[in-house]
Amino acid sequence: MISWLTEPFLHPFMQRGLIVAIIVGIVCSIIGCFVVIRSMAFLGDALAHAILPGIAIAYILGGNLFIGALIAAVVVALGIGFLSRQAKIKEDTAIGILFTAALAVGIAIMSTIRTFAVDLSHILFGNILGVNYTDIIFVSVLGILILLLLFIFYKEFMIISFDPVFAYTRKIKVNFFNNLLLVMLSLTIVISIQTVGVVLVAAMLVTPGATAYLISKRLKNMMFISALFGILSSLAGLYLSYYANIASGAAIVICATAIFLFVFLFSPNKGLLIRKLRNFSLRKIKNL
Amino acid sequence: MKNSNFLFKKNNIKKARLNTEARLEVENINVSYGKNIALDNISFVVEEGENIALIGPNGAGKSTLFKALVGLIPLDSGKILIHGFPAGYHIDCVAYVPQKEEIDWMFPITVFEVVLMGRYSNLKTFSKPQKKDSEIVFSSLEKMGIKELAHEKISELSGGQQQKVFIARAIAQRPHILLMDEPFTGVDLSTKETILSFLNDSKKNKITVIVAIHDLNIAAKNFEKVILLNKKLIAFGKQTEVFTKSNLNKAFGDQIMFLNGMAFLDECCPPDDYKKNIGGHY
Repeated sequence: MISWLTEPFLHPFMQRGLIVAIIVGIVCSIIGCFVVIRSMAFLGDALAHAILPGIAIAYILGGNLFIGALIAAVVVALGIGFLSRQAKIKEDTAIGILFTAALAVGIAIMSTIRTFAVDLSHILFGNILGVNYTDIIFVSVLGILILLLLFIFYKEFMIISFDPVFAYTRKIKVNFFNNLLLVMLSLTIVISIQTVGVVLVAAMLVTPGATAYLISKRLKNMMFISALFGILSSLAGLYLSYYANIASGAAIVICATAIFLFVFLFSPNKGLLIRKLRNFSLRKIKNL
Repeated sequence: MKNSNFLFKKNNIKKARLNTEARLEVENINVSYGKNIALDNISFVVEEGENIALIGPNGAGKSTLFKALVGLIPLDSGKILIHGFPAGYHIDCVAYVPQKEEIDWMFPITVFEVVLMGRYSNLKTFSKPQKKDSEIVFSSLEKMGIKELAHEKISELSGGQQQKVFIARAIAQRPHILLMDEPFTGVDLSTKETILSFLNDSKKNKITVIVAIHDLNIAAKNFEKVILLNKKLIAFGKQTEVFTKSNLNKAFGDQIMFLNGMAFLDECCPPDDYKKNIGGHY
C-alpha cells in the first residue's frame, strides 16, 4: 500500500509536478471562493482563454510565455471592466466579445507556427510533467504573492463583494479593489496553465469553492475548506493520472468534481441524499 | 439680540455648535443618468434629531437622493452639506440601510459579521475584532432583538430578521445621520414595530433619520415631517400640510386613490415612468 502511494513520486518529474499541482490547487481554490460568491465563473473561464494571444506572441518573440500570458490576461481583464462601464453593455456581453476576440487572435497567431498542434495542446490541456525548477520558483512566488494580498485585503474584498454600496460609504476604493481582484485572478490563471491548462482552469477556480460553499457558514471557513479540497483534488488527480495513465489536468478536475458530487449528496445538513432519506423516514413515522 | 446673547454664554457654546453642525442641508441639487433627469433642483434642510419620511412613487429618485447624500453619485450641480461639510467627506457619521433587494442573501456570512462591518474603520485584517467592537455589535443586535441569531447565516433568516440585521449594522456605526431605504417593505408586523420604536429612540438620541417609505399610511401615522418627491421636490414640511390631495396627485398622478379620507396607492399597474426605469422588463 505504502509503496503504491510513494511509487509515483520516486520520479523527479512527478515530484516537481506534485509541488506545482498543490500550490496551484491551494491558490485557485482560495481565490476561487470569490469567483463563486461573486458569480464570476464565466469571467474566470474567459480570462483563461484570453491569455492565448499573449502566449503566442511571447513564443514567436522568444520571450517568457508566462509574462506574455500575464500581460494578455491583465489587458483583457481591465478591458472588460472598461468596456462594460463605457459602452454601457452588460458585463457578460463585454466578456463574450473580448474573450472570443482574444482567443481568435491567439489561434490566428499560433496557426502560423509549425509545431502548432503540440504547443496548442500543452497550453489548452496543461503539461504538468514538463515542469522545471524555474517554473516551480515562478509559481511559488506568484502563488505566495496572491495569497498574501488576499490575506492583507481580506476585509476589503469581503465587503466590496457583499455590499459595494456600503463599501463606497466607508471610503473603500471599490473600483481599485475590483481591478486588483481581476489582476490577481489573471495571475492565478497564468500559474495554473501548466497544471490544468486553459480549458480546465475554470474548474479549479469554481469547483472546490462551490464544494466548500455547500458546507460553510462564513467566507473565512469557506476559503479554508476550499483550500483543503483543492489540495485533495490535486493529489488524488496525480495518482489517478499516474495509475490510469490519463492526462493530469483532466484527472485533477475529475477528482474535484467527484468531491463536489460527494459533498452535494452526503453533506450532513444540506446533502441531497441525506435530506431525501430524512424526509422518507419522517413520512414513514407519520404513516404509522 | 437675545439669541446672540444665548450663543455666547459659555455653557451653551458647545450645544449651539452641535445644533448648527448636525444639520443636513441640501441646496439646489441636480442629478441625472445620461439624459434622464433623476433629481431636479432639490433643496431642503433637516435639523438634528428629526425623523423624516421620504415619500414618492417608484422611480421618483428616492434611492438616488440617498446615494447622493452618502456621496455615492456625483451631483450635476448644487451642494449637500452635512455638519457643514460636503457629502462624502464623512466616513462614520452617515449610515445607509439599503433596500433588501440590493443585498446578496446567498453570501456566506453570519449576522455577527454583517453587523461587525459597521465597525469597519476599527477592524484589523483577519485578526479577531477588539472586545469593544464585539460589545458594540452585540448591543446593536440586542436593540433589534436578534442577539440569539448572531451566529446564523443570513440566508437562513426571515425577511423581517434580515431587515433588522442591517439596521443593527447601521446602529453599530454610531451614526449622526441615518438613511433607510424602504425598511417597512416586505416585513412582518413585529419587525415594523421594532423599527418604529427604534426610530423613537433615535429621536431621543438626536440621530437624524430619513426613511424612504412606500406606504403612505405608515408615514401619516408615525412621522411628523415628510418630504414628497417625484424628481422635483413637491412638498416638504409637517405632514398635515404636505399630505394634501393636490400634492399627492402631483406626486403619484393616477396611481393615488382616496377612500374615506385615507390615501391609497394603486400598485397594480405601474405608471409609464416606472416601466422605463426598470428597463422594459414588462
